[in-house]
Amino acid sequence: MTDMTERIRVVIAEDHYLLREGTRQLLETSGHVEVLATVGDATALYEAIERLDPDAAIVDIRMPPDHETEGITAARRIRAEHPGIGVVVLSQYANALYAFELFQDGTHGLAYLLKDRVGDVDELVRAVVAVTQGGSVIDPNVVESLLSRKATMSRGSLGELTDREVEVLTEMAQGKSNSGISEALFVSESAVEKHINSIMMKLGLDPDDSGLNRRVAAVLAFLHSYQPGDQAS
Amino acid sequence: MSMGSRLVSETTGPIDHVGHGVGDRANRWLIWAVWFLALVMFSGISSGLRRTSGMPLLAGLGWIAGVMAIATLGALVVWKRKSLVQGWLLTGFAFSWSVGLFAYHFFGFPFIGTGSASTFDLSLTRSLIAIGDSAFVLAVVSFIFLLFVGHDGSLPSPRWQWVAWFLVGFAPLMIWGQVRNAGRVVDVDAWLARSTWWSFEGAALDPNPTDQILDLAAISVAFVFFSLMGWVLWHRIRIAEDEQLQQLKWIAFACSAVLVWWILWVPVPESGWLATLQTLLPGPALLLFALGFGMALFKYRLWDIDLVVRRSLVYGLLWLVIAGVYVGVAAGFGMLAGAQFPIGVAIVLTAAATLVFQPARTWLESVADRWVFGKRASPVAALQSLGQGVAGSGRPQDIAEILAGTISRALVLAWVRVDIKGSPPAEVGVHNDEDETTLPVAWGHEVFGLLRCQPQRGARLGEEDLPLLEALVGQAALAIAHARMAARIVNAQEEERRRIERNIHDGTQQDLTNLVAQLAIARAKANGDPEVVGDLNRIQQDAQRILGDLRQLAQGIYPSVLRDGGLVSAIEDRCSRLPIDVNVRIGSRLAGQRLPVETEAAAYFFTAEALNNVLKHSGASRVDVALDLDGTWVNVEVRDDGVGFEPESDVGGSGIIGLTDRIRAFGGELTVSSSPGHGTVIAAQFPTRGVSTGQL
Repeated sequence: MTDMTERIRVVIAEDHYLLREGTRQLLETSGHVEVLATVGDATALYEAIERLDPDAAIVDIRMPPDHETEGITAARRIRAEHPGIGVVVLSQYANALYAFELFQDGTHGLAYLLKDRVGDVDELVRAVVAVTQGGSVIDPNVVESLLSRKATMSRGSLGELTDREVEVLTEMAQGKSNSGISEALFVSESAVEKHINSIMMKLGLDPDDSGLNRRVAAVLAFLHSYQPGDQAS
Repeated sequence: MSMGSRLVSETTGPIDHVGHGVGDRANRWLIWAVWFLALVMFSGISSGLRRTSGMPLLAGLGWIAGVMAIATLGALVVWKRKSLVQGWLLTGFAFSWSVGLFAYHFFGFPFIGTGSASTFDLSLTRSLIAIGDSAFVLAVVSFIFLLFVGHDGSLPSPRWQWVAWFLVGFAPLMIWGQVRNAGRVVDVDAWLARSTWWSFEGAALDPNPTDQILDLAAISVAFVFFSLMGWVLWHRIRIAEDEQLQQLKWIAFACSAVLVWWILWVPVPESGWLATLQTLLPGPALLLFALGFGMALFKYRLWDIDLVVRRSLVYGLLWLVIAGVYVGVAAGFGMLAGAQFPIGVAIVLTAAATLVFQPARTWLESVADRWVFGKRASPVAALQSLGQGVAGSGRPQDIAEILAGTISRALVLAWVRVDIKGSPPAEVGVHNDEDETTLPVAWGHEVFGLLRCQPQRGARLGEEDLPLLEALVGQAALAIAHARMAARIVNAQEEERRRIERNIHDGTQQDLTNLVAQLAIARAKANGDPEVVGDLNRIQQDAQRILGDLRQLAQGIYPSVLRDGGLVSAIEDRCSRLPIDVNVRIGSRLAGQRLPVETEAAAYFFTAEALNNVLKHSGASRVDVALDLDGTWVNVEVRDDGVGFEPESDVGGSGIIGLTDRIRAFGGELTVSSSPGHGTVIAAQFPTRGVSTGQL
């Protein structure tokens, strides 16, 4: 990312004033991001996006007026109205339910990160970059929380994945490349390739579909196997 | 049908009667007409009676009242079902009696006088006696036929046609004998002393063999027919059930009253006590006959006749009968005493008898009340039963059902319906077209619903019933108010949890997140100083750990998934983090459904608490959680394969008591089944309607 010549132009929507300013400072100190505006609610966010046409928006999941999941609604609306703008949703919930809600209409240009990520500016910036390029990112903690579930809860595909494959999937969810995964798991890149193909097959995905999205699709298929009421046999 | 508050607000007073019985008025006129007629006849007869020594005034009254009552019943039956032979037989029976009585005693003696042949017109006397005795024969025949014909007016079997024809053929023979007998009357006093209803020879001072044979034949035939009658009745009672059995019992009662009188109608010395008894007996006997048929008709719908006569009227008639019998008994005793003792002693004895029979009369009246209106619980017993009932349950639905049942029993009502807002209606009995009484179920200014009720056909709620009704409804309303308050407290608790969770997420958690961001900025500014960066990293890790803990804490207080994803998501999420095998089964009716937030919270925290109990106490290796929606109820079941416990023991512990209290307060139900070594099943149901009381 150090090779980026142009800074990414973002808008931040966060109702907590201190955190809003903290996030702005943090992103600006990274040198890769230019914060065009910071707003406190969804309405102001839509206005800012119309006015400033940023590359990406960083949106708090809970915003006025109801402090529920306004951030997710806003992210999906922005993606629908401005397909060129990526959205990173910052959430305090590690539950996969919210990620799934966010990715309902598609995964392109959307990221679901826990707010803790503001402590790791590189990761935050990497997610911003990914969404501007049309990619997707899911917070590793969200995936981990799923992995900690007992195998008895298994429905659908999870039971069929080996432990190693689940590890590879977790790394994929973080938007890592094959080389990144091989580095993280101390295995060869060809082994990673083999695992990914196996995962794709088990999840019923087209292994020839290349790129970042098929990785997220894999994670989503994985997540989907946990959705309530989805009693896959 | 949902009950609307509209219905309540339209109720102007606390108790509201609606509707008027039209048939009520017509019946009242009919009864008044009958009684007026009786009064006119009585005044005419009483003047004549006073001139005769044989028939005291009171006995005459008894005769008239009895005959009038039977005539009224017969007229009612004919009016309702003209084609039914029984109505005509009853009317014929009464008519024959009245003709006989009038010809014989009431019109006869005043005109003809008493004494030897020289003092009266012999041919007139003979004619009146002939008419009277013929009428009595017809009365007896009607009486026998009334018992022979069955419920539908037909004979027991085709073979009985012979019996019927024999009776029809024998009647003219009897009448001929009576006429012949009357033609031989010479001395009225002598004849009266020897006369019986079966006697052909009484009038003849020198009976011949023909008379004796006729007498024997008459008495034999009568014996055979009365026996046959008894046999038929006994046979019918044996095979009858329920209502029909009750009808037949009353008919048997009616007939035995008359038979006792007839059997006692034997020639006796004129001044003896038996003669006085004979004189007094017919009135009460006829009245009891009327009472028996009346009960069978009014209470047990004899011959399927739905007499729309107010029960209060029936009760009124019964009261008159009882009062009449009471006065008759007292006066009869007085007359008996008067015949034996000096007048002073007789008066004292009569007064004493009156006092002695007073409790009997009171008792008879209460018995009549029960016969007509059914058995009632005392107000105290009703309140006690309601109190015990509602103490066991906090659910408005249960309270409504207990209230409806108690009121229905206590006031012996035909129909009671209790609608409590947010609960299914409780209904007892069958709706009819009687006046409806409505009463709001309210405590203070808070109206919870409406009670509606109807008395039994022909009955009416008495003035003394309304205070009891109000007291019962008030007690139930108080119980509902308590249940609602408990629900509010529980819901307020959950509301508080939601508030705390919000504060953590939107306050402390955001502050801590900001702290983490600040640390990251500080680290960036540290320009790679390893010591500072190391410290900042450590602090940041601590902060992030605290943030994680805080997230867990908030999750425990009120899971965000419960709020945003609903009950099913939250329970799946909770179960996924259990350290033992879990199987979650979600019913198809519940999947994808969002329920009222109070219901979701109650069901979730119940499940979480039950799962905690499983982890803490059961030692189970596996737990099955099942949820489903059943109408307006959410059913939750948590089943483990742990050690279980003795349900009677305390081992179930405060956990279960706490659960029970909360669920009851919410208007739900909890069942726990367990036995040592066989695991535990905890099941609960939560209402999804009428739970929005938590909004304070």
